[in-house]
Amino acid sequence: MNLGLKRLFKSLGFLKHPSLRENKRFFYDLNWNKPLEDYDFVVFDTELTGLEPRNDEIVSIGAVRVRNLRIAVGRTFFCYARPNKPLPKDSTLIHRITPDQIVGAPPLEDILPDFVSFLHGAVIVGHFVSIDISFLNRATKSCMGGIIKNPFVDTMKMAQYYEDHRRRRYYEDAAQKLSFGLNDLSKKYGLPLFEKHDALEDAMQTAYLFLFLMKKFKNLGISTLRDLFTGQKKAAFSSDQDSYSA
Amino acid sequence: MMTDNSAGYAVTPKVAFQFLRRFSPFKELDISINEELAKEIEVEFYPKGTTIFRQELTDITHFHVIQKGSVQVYLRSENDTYSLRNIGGEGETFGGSCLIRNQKPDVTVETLEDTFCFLIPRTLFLRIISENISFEKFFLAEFQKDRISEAYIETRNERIRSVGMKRLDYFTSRVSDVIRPNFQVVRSDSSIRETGEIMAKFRIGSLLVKDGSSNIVGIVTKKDLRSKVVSCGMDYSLPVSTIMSSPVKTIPVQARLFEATLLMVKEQISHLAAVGDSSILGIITTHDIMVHQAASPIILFREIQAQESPESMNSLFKKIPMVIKNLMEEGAKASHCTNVITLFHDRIFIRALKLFAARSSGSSLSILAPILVGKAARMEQTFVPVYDYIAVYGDEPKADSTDTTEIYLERLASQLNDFFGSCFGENLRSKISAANPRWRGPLEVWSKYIDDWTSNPIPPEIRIAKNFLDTRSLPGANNIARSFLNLFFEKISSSVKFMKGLAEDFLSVKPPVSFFREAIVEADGTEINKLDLESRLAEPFADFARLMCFRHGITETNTLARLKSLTRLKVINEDLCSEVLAAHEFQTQLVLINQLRALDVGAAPGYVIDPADLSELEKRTLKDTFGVLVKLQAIVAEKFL
Repeated sequence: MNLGLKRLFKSLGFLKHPSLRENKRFFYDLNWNKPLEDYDFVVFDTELTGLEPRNDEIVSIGAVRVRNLRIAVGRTFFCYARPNKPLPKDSTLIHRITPDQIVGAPPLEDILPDFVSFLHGAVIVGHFVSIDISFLNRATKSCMGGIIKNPFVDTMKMAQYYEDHRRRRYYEDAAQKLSFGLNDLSKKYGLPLFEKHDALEDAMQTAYLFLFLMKKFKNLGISTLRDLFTGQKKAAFSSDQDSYSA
Repeated sequence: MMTDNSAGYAVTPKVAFQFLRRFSPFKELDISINEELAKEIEVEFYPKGTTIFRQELTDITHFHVIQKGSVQVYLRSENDTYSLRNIGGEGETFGGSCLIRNQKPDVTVETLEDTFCFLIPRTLFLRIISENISFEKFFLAEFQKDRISEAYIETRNERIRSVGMKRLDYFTSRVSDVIRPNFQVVRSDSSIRETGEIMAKFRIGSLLVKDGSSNIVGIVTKKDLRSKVVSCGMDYSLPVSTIMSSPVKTIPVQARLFEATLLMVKEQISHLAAVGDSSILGIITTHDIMVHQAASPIILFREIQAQESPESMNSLFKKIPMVIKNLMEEGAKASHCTNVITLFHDRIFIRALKLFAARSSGSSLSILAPILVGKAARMEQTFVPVYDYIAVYGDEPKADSTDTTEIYLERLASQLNDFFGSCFGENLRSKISAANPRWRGPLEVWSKYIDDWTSNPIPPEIRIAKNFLDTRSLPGANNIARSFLNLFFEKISSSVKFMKGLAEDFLSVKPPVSFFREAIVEADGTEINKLDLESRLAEPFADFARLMCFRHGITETNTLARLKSLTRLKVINEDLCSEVLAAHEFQTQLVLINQLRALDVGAAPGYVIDPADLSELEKRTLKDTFGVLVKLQAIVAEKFL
């Protein structure tokens, strides 16, 4: 089969990668009612050439696993990916990845199956994660013939929910302008700080924020995965893939 | 289940690895072990107020290292009272000793703030323990002798070296600091014999020679007399101009010492005339420079001995720190250094006493019979000198001569005090002196004081009285002093009431518990930012040794000597003794080095340290030192209360 045909079939879903089939099956059967400690999470972050999914690409992925609501700092995933188009100059200013670093890196196509394996069985966590997910799914769709079905949680929305709750509780001034950037939140909550704009360091930073918020949420009556997703509808800080990808 | 192909993309977790490399006992382990640990570490978050370990209840599954935040560790006793054991911040570990002993926690650990911990699984921790002896020792030894010697060496190497005293002195001292202004001049037609006589009379090694119009034309030294006159059999009646060196080499008084040295070496001469405002202000010799530079205790002892007026001793005090610094660099223990410093001050005291006594006509020196008390008596002087002394004289003086003795002693003691004051200024910390009429008197007056103290030992009086329990008479003391010391010792040691008062005084101040970040944590949980090593460590150690020695009839005065005697008599066991000695040695060294550093930058030396200036190792060791004091308090509480 020639390459163009293969891509076409994949994008139409006829040639779904086995990892994706496994992925779908796993989350189809997921029990949403277990305590949060019983789930695995993968906190991840990507570095991109820009913010436009149609034109821009992923150049780096960093991820770390959270198990028993503890960050397993040794279970990490980190890579650079060589984009199809040359790196735009202005993106280097943000993520500090230089063209030299990615010139010898494998294309994203080669990496994705391993990353999908790394995500296996885990709820995805990220800060403003919908951007990363849309880039990821666009890539898996074209390279692996489908999208991932992992439910995902956004730490930014979690933080908004947490802050709303605190405001109500302590009658803090609602007009007070809060920044929900990863770095500002990390400073505000006194978390250990990591280097900015490196996919793995940012993922690690997000993992600390996630851990912090998850423990704080316990006091707010959120104890199962269902609570996290559906029990707190108003908060809407999380989503499963179907509602997002629809 | 899918296979995990992502292992190729895993990296060594920087966050954990770099953290472990910063703290004991991890940083002492091989890098490869730290890498292994870092890969297995999990990060746990405990919100403020979380109980991590509950005493005797929690099953410990992980060894904990605090990454950020803080915890308090406390002990619940049988009668449900709680006592704070520790406050730990970044880098502090817990759970180690319980994992090793396979026990439930013996304390409760609770977070004081939102806290992130690194967790190391039990099995991995135990494996590393079994493979690394030093790692195990870190958790099990109650008081780390290895750690203290390590801290001792660290303090010594890093801190002493940073004190630049000697180098600064040589390159910044000027000729004007060293010259002898009282030089003599002879006319060039004076005979060699006359010249020699003048040298002998003024005890000088050189003099200048002037011509008829009072211009300085040459210099004559002892060496000229020896080599040119004596050995060649020259006629003593010849004019001095035949042997003088001419012209006189000069150097400006503002020149630096090393410039003077260079000139002398270049010209191969040992004397220079120091010139200021076009006239000669004095003579400087190689000997002067050597003495000024010399950092040898022997030379300093001799110099003190050779002084002919109390005022001329003044410059010698400034050399004590330099001499001690050199001794420390050569490896002298801190306790030896305090001994040497005390010997210097003893000499200065004796010499000054002699010189002042010589000025007062017709009175015998032995009347004063000064007895050193307190720190000076214990031979524990630092760079903050203490001249605490009392005077005891005969029991039965005639009515009229008592007045004479009193007036004489008052004058002598206040002269001494003024002298010490002028030498050390604000650094002098004397509290007790014979210039105060209360602290000089005949034996019978002292006997009454002792009776008062022993019959009514109230705390403020005990604080004063305990100074007199450390006494030492200077060499040449008379029998009166000796009988005073005996009397004191007997009466005090036989007074149960007084001994109990002393014990209560010793127990009244609880040692701090721990360090927390930049602060010190007191037993009641309050935090302080400065630690007075004198009142919180040195004095309590001295108090313990004194109390136990009086109880067991040991007449030593020095704290270390007392502790060693107590061990010989098996009052304290050898393990405890070596802990106490090590702790005492460490705190003494910390004091000396901090004082040296203060002197180096021109600040007043003292005893107060800022915990922010201490290394992690020093903090840990000081914490161990507090722990030793707690043990000593327990012993005293058991034996006296």
